[in-house]
Amino acid sequence: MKIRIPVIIKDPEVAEYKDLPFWEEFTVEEDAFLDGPISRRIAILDFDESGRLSSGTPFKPPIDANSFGRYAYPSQDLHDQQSFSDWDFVRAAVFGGVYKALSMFEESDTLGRKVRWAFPGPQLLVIPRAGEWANAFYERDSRSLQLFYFSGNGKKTYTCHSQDIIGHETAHAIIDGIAPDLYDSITPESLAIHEALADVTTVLLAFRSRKLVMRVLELTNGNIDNSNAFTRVAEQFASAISQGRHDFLRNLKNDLSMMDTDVDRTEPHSLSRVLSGALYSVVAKLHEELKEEKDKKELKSKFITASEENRFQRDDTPSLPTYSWGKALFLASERLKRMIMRGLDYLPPGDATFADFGRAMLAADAASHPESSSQRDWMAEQFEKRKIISSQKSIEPNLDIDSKPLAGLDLNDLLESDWVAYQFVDKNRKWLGLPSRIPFEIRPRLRVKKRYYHREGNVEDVEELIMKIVWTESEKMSSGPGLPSLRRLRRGVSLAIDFNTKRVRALLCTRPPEEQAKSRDEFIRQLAQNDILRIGDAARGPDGNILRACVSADVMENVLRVKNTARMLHIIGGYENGR
Amino acid sequence: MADEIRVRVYNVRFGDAILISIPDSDSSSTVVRHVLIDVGNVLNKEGGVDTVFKPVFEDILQEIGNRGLDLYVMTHEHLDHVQGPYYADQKIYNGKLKEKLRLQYLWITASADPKYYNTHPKAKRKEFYEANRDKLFSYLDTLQTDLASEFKGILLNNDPRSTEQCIDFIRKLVPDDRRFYVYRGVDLSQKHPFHEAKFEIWAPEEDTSAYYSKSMVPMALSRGSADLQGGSEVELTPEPPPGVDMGAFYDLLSMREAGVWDNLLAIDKAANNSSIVFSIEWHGHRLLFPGDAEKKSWNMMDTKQLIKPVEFLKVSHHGSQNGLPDVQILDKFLPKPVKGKQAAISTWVNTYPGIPNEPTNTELKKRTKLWSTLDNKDKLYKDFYIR
Repeated sequence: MKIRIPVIIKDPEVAEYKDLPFWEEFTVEEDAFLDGPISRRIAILDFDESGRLSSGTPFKPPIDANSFGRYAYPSQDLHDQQSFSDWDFVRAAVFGGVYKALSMFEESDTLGRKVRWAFPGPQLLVIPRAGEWANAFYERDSRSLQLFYFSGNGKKTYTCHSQDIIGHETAHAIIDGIAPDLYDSITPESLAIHEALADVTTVLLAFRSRKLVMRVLELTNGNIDNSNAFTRVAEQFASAISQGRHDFLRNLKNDLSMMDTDVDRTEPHSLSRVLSGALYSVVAKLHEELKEEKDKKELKSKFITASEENRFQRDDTPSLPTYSWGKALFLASERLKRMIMRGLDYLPPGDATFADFGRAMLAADAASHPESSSQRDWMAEQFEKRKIISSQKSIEPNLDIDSKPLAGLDLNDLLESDWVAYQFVDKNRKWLGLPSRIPFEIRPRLRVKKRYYHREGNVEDVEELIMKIVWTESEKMSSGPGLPSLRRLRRGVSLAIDFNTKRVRALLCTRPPEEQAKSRDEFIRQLAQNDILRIGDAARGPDGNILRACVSADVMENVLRVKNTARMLHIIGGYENGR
Repeated sequence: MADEIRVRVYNVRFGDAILISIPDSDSSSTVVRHVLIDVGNVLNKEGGVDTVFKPVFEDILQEIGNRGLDLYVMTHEHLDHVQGPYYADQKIYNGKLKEKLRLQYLWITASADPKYYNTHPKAKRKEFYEANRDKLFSYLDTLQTDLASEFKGILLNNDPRSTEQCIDFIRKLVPDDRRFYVYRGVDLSQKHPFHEAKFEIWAPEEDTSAYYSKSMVPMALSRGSADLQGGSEVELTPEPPPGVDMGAFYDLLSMREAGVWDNLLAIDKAANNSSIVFSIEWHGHRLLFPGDAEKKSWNMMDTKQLIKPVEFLKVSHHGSQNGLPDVQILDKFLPKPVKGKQAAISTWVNTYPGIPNEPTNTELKKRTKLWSTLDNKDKLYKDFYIR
């Protein structure tokens, strides 16, 4: 069943001052929809400000097989600020916003599958009015997105009115489903990957709003390489907590490097700006290149393929140059999206670094476009320029991986049988990069079909098997008194195999550099110093459940094992932590 | 004992009671003056057995003799630091404790001034208890776990209804002009009778809201919060709407409520951090008594550059991991190796989450000769001599 659902374009404040429509419509397809809105995968649970659970926005099923279902809200015909006073509308728009993010990840040319959540069960709960607090977060333990509201500057600001925040928090939930180890990581760069990708997701979602794209390109004369409505995250929220001064949480347009004094290498939000800045720079460069090609009307150049281009339908409003810039931006953002999300799919489990993520992105791109390396080169240049890596060679993909260990192996058996999988890994430890004799865990194997738009113009669907193996090593720790002298560090390997040819598309292993041990020491030291790290029973409430505002840990044989560090990203200390 | 200070650490189970006896000379004579720091223990479980107070007060009264007590320091408003005097007065001395103690000077942490919350509205922890006390107690009563019992202890330890009469009794041990609400920076001249010993207050800050954590979770997280805030009746356990997994729904409600416990712990920490932390310097020796100060207070003391090496430490917060500062700070007042330094922990088992904490003890043993009340559970006290 298909429905048309509203999605907020940015937030009411940006819509007002940029003279944009407040919302647009989006199509969602699922088996069934219920009042709420509720589907099998997403449920909006709206507790009003007195704590009552609202009855939900009523669903109107489609009248026939060719029409769309809709959610009914009294302000149906309004397209202004008043819509945001209609909670039936807001609930529907939050639902739409979550689905917009989810759909982007799940497209056939991205992950090519339905996202599986990191928590048990198929349904993400979304709470649009979670309480009074300048905060919003994804919380794995409660399987939910919690969007709060707060008062300031003479008005009440609802984080659920911001598509940036909805998209950002949904992205955390999706990323957690794809790379769950990042959530428990003790390496600041791993948590920064979570944060940077959530920020970049908000930008990619903004690029998908035709009305916003056309307006911004008009205002910037086609140049996205400047601070603008795309790169400024959560403007309404940030302005409200800044007593009305126009502000934003983070700006993805930056030239920060790991060596900048402004970048705290032990603080995930601070670090995330380096990675998101690198990713944004690549999309800006791609856009410039594609614009240039467009300007030369070389529509079938090495950069643009007709099959990709056909996905961007022209509408009737914009002028030709703006339309052309918009088309180039759509294509650029799609390329970056694929590179990032497939990179995340290939990311080895465990405490991954920016370099590990860079390696995974490049490997994913090389597996699909071995002959066309320009986008990879730009990404590697950004990583080197920002001192994430010392040389581009260190993240260069290996295009010629030995496939001999797969000889005689039935990939269906590897996919379905844990026994076969464990035997295969144990037998091929050296090839995979696993230390000998160390116990390991194999994550559920995935068989996925992804669509590739080749730069020569053809479209290819590739089926691949993705397998991830994780193990832990103990690492010396020096994080202060009262803490053990060792900690558990997760490491991992990811393996991607072409299901039909058995060619190894990628074989990647986390490579934790020595110097990051110091960042981990400092990260844990600060958690302890700020009373955030709680060990053993000190992390539990009276019902035995882990407390909410802490990072929990346990100690076994003088080894510290830390969990839930991703709570640091928003749950602990509020959303403004991200500043 | 003209050439030594004696620190007597009483075993009051989970609580503090410390008597310091210091020779003090002026131009004409030498007397031994006595400082009593906190007498109390928690209310729950075996860590809160009240019968311990009788032998403790008998010993204190014998030690102070006819001269009486020179200075009483009430470090902070937790029951495990304030319960003893009121209990002893009511249950042991039939309302005569004040006469027996003959207290000269009283120091109380600044935030225990009855007028404090009028002038410092940001430090409004009492509101939390007023709003939630009954609900939290009734919820804890439904749980039959050790952790629930420990949380009940924390709640009681912080509950103004439990502590207020104890603190009020302490306030009245001296006339108004001998009672001082103290904090870092307060002028201590004329606030104690000592001629030789020098006192320095390292903490708390006058505005204790500085110790509130960013991790305070809003009350709106708690389901049914509206009725706590004076709103209309709210159904506490709504049914999940059709299409929503029942288990996930009730887990969500439970998680929303869990913020209450985070707040309780945050307030507990803030109260610990409001502890009077003071040093005594005498004949070149320095002793440190930090009450239950936790990391935030230690960090603040370090920022203010107050920390100096000491020979004796009353270990903060009953030996918890949070009571010990970071190693860089620890190095400033307890540098390695042990050499002539002593430390004492007053604690009990199964009373407070995470206490005792073995890594804390291990770290302290690298720097001091460490003793804990758990080392000699049956002894009334342990004496430490600094000479």
